[in-house]
Amino acid sequence: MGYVAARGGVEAIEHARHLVRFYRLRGGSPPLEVRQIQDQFRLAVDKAMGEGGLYSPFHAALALKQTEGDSAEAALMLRAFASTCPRTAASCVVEPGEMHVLRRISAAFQEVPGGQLLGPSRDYTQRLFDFALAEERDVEVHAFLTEVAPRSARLQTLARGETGGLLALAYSSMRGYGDVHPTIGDLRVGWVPLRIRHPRDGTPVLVGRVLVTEAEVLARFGAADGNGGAPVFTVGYGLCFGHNELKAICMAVLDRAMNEPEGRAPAESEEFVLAHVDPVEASGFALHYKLPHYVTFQSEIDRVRAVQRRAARREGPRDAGR
Amino acid sequence: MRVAELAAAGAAARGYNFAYLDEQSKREVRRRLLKAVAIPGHQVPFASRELPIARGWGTGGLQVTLALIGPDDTLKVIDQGSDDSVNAVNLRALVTRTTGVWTTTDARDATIIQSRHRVPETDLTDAQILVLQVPDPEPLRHVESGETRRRRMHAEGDYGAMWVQLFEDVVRWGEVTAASGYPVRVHGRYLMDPTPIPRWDVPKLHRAETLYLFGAGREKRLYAVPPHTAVEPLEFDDLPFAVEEFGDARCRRCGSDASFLNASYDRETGERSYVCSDTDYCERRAAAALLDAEAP
Amino acid sequence: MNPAPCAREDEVLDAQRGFRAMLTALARPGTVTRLPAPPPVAPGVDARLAQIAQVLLDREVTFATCGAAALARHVIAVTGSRWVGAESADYILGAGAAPLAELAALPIGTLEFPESGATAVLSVERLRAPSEDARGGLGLVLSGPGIASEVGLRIDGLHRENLETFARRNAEYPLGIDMFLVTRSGDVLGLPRTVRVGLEPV
Repeated sequence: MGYVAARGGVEAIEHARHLVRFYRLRGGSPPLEVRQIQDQFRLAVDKAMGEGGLYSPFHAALALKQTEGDSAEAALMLRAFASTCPRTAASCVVEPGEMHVLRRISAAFQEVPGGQLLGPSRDYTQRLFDFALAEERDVEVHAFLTEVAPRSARLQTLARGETGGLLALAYSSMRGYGDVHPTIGDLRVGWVPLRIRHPRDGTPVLVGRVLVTEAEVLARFGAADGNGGAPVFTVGYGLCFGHNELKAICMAVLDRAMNEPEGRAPAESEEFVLAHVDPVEASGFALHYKLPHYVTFQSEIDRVRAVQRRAARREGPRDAGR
Repeated sequence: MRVAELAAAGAAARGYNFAYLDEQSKREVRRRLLKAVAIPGHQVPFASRELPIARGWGTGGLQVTLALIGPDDTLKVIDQGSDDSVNAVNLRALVTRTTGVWTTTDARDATIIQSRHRVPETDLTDAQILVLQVPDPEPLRHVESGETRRRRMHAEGDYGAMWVQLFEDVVRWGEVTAASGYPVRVHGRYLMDPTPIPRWDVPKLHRAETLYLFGAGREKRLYAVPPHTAVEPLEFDDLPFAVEEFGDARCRRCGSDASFLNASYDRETGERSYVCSDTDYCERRAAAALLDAEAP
Repeated sequence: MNPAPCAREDEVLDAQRGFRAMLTALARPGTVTRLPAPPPVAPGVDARLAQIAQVLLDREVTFATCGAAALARHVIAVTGSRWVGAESADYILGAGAAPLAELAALPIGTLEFPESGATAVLSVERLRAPSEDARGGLGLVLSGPGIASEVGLRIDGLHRENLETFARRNAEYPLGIDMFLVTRSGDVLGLPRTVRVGLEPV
């Protein structure tokens, strides 16, 4: 069996690597430029940045190219790369109020201070194929010159969470496994300034801007402790790298769900949610079942046989008596 | 070890710290390992780092090895007992690429052995460390689903629920059906999951000469069994712990009937035979038998 | 794109060898191991305590000293660790010859997190096997995890009270503290909280 060949392990891996490269290139189409992925697959890039926990559109795009679009593998690559980067400073708290907004809507109110800005959104388009895109050759790019995001641990874990995993859990909450009926108070996409404290005198220094999506969700009222038990609206909050509205909304819904004091549904259990939404851990473990398990399986066979033998011994005398 | 040190310098030249992990990550693992050794069998949480290997594929064992290893070491990496298993090859490659350390398949020559789900058949010495890869460090996982409650059970040494589960097994099936990863009591105190090693290997941990270290990367836990420490599988007075049985089977390659055997099916005829899971042990036995046969 | 910056190679390998010496010492109490040569320190700073601090400490943990402000300043500068009182320290560095009241204040962890009990690192004069010279110093017989049956040794430069405090803090396993003893020549003895210490009567 070649999987654990006597001397074939290294060769097998080399061939596997070669095959992966072959499958990526065999179509004969022109190789993708990383720049193309970064520009024209921005939502996939943003998703990978968020799940990888590394704000670097170039590396996210390169990861997607290298992994042929496998977002879980891309997140793993980004996490591993981030692991090698020195942590030189912690940033100052980011003030989303300083956001240079690209898109901002509120479902809760028709008019809101600051106004609503539809921004780049497919929400109100029909999902019909635009076959012209198949013939697209040169595009005039109108650049938007943008210049322009022990609850913290929970939000950190959610911020790096896998979008699909968060969606499934948040959806369960919306459908009745839990009690969050969310109204979006504010959903924003935009650039927030990032500052760190200067190591010598501690003054805040601007080091760049990051694109984030931020969602505030208003949920059904509960009794507030500091309010004498009178009901108030409760808030869920979500923030993630890049433009990923689905993730920010689900984060906010789960944030609110996990605050439910008497919660029993899976989405309301912080332990349950936080343990199961990490893309690198979840996908790694799910896929590790591909690793050889023949020793453990042999041990299982032994147990099954032992039980069968015991059952046969018990039935033996009865058969003989017939 | 000058050559190894030169190779180590080479790793730095390629842009990675010696043994891949940065020094802060190594210190975190090292501090936690010392506490793990001081509290045998207790799971110590640690800030598990991301590695360029998928979670669930040995990142915990790898972090332990990377925190331990130095130019004076000789490394062996096995998976299911085999040095040539593709995942063992990949893990070994990451270590050697970033350290230049000597590697071996001979369990007698290794100072550090990283293993997935087997303890070598060769007796290990006090000059060696065995690092086991842990998929799930929690022996109470299927007894109690809440982590807070499990932590309290460990805190109070209250393992009644595990005994009940084993008892129900016996009532239903006549046997304890736990196969690999059999729960053990360490130093008379903590219930521990020895990783999915077969029951065959469990007795090797009891009052061993060698130090056992366990790394769970995904679950972010480290634990340890020092040498000469009691490791006792849970058993009933009238139903003692038993290892796997192989009947009359012998290894097709070396003839051993004193090692853990795997069923193997001929690719063409489909015929079943048995081979040692520990390829190093098997090859040395087979080679020795050949020499004996050829001796004048 | 950016290669990871690397620590100096010799520092990296010294830290690795130092750690292995301490791991073996703690896993096999009674087996005396040897640290590599220590990095240079200012006069008045215990070189071996500073060396162990450099192996184990950084921003993520806290440490206390028993006085020894010069040592503390050195450790802060080299490791970035925070200097705190014994009652909240993860590590304590001290000279073992005099009784150290701070040992009695060290955290012993909780039942749920026994590993948050502190680690004490004390400098002593000599560690020797009883066969070398059965006179002077403290005579100990150690048993427990890591030891085949029992092992005897003698320690010069460790006050008896420090061992008695150590034993008292470890009366309720798994709560407790763990200890390392280190000599100027770099010999290390590890005493995990599981070790049973039989002290020769006065």
